[in-house]
Amino acid sequence: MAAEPFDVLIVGSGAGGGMAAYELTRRGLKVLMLEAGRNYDPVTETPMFNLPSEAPLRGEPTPDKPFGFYDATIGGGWDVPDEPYTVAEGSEFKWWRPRMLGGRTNHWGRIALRFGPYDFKPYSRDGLGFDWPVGYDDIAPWYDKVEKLIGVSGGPPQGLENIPDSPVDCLQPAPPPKTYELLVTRAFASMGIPSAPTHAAILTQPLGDRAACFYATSCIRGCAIKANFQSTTVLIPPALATGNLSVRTDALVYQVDLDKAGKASGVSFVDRRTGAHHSVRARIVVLSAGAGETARILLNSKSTLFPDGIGNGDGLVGRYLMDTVGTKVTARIPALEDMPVTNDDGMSVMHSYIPWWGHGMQARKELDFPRGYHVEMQGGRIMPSFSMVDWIDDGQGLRGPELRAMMRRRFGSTLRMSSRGEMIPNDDSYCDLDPKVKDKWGIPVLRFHWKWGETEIRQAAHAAKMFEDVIGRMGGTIVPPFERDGAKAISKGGEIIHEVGTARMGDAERNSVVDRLGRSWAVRNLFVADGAVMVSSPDKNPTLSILALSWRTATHLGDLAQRGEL
Amino acid sequence: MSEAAPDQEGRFALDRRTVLVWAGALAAAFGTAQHFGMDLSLSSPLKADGYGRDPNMLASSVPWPRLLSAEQRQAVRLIADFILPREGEAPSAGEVGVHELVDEWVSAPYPEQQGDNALILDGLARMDIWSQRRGDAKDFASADAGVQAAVLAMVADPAGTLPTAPFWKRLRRLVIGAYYTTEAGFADIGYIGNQPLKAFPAPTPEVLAAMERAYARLGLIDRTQSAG
Repeated sequence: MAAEPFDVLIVGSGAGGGMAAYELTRRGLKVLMLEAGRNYDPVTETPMFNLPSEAPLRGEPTPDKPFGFYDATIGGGWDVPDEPYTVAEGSEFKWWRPRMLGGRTNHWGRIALRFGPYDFKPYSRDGLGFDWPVGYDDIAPWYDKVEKLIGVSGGPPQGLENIPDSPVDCLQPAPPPKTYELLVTRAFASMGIPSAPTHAAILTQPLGDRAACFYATSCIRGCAIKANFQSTTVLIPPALATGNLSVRTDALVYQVDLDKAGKASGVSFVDRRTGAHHSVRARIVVLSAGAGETARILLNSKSTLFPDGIGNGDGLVGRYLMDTVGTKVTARIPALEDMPVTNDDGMSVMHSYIPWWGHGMQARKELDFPRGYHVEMQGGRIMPSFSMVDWIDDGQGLRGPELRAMMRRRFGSTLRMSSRGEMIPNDDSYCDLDPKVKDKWGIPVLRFHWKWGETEIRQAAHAAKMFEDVIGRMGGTIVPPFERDGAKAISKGGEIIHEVGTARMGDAERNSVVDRLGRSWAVRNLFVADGAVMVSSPDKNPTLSILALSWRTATHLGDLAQRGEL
Repeated sequence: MSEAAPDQEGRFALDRRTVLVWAGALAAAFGTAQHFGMDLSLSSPLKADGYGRDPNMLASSVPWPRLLSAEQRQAVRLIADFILPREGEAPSAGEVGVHELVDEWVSAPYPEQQGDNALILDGLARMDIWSQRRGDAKDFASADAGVQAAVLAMVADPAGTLPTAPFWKRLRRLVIGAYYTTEAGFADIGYIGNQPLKAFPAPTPEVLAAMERAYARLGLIDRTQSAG
């Protein structure tokens, strides 16, 4: 490990932290990355091809592994031992946290959609929420760079409204659609709604030392052949190769330390293995701990100068917390029973999806909700699990030859569709420090407050109605449970694991925590490079945007540092 | 007490002779109608650890001890084979060790599995009692084939009004889930994935033709060119 003080100290090793480390180490800056979880190597640790029958309980979910035994989440899940959070009375919120190098990039869905021009200026379009201080054209070059670096498949261009196409040299080709997707996309097409290839952070062609996807074994396990994007395979190894990156794992950062002048001098952390408290010094600090943990660090960084935490003079840290609106439906589609047997594994994410189609209807005031959603799908002849058996079985209690015949006939004919929609930030959804509860090491924990707005609930109801319609068109039947009532159909806050927006960017200190480049207004050598800076939360899954924004912030930071301006 | 004694809701008038006979036997065994609310208290609290938040995913092991007795495991195996007997090349559920998974499942120290433990051990105990009442066997597993068949026919009755209905529904789900998550289950159901491919194949002409037939049957006309 290089000697202190480091040039830059990065808190977190996921999309934001990994990207910042990649850029800054390439520039020759000495970087220390602090990760709360353990070291993790997908090349040696990923259970590629392992079968359900090789796992405890056939790999079914448990509280230890809520997404199943083989999910690449280590040390956490919906709760982390010794590190509680609380939820205010009347709120529901779930917070997914791993404790491993690379964070949530190890298991994420790999859907890599760009935010569109409308998504950066929502207030200007409909008077709701807030505009970003930047527009699509500011971020587009960074999307280009990220797509080329991490490898995103999903070409060619589609020309859809507010669904940006990438320049031709950015995207790898999309794989052909899976069998069941042909029927689903045709059903949407029968309503005039187009589909598009999924933009996925999964290679269809080799890239550097990374192999192309071989269309087997789920991405949620991680990928030993590096065919999908994980910070631990794509960003951290090249950063380490520069010789400029030091990584300290099991380091739970809780505070940004300040010098007498009010500049960041480093951070304090707990070693989770020993419980010892440490401080480490650096010229520049970057917070990339994820929107929740980044807010917690800022709020816990209390001093005479910042009695309520850094950047929180106007009470903005933790505010405008957003997640994605999610709904889902499961269905049996008898029309798919007649299809030839195909291998539908493919990429574990769908090859085709339904981008939001209603901008025109919203402009004409034909819908009772202002922001859109896209439709994701999963189905076909995928590796059997208990839940798939539940979808197929019809409750008639069949056994013997009748049971086998039903299973054979219906296998491949079930599918799930999910909506992923935009949430408008509101005053009732935020996080602050719990006044009483502390973690095992005495650090105050986050308390979440959550309320979906009426617009989100109406959007969820619309999605449920659409799903009924589409399934009807396919001649299918819905597998219970299914909710039409938007308030019941909508996901819990945090459940889609897209929490963003607790330290948003802006053009003035009074309405934002960081500037348009992610630099703290309050402490000018402190930067935020993760989903916390987001001003809105469009339907597009946030990881690609976190990468683009982080790269942009790191580049700016590097320029300032190398000009001696920090 | 008459064979056809109704339960508390008075809905015991099933038309199946076997069910009536065995419900009567059960009532006789326990004296009064309270038998439907009985707590057999067979499941002991589980104190074992789970596999934790950082298990070895490449070479996994099950850290908790298995709780089923040899007789209970055999009973589950008989039930599994009753639900999914061998058929041609497809092995029976017992042959692929589904009963071992059920044992692992009901022994696991997680809330869902502990709930299943109570339900399944209770159900197995009732099947033992019914077997005892029907013949001289000490339990279901050692009863003669005729008794086993009669008890299974009763428990598996899809009408499902016996107190064992939730037990059966749950155990049947475990058996089917456990079976189709084995390689034998994959082969039987026609799952051909988990194989590395050089490229993901485009839909074959056969698939496209089948799909065109489906579109036509369902009246799915592509309107993306005409609508906005």
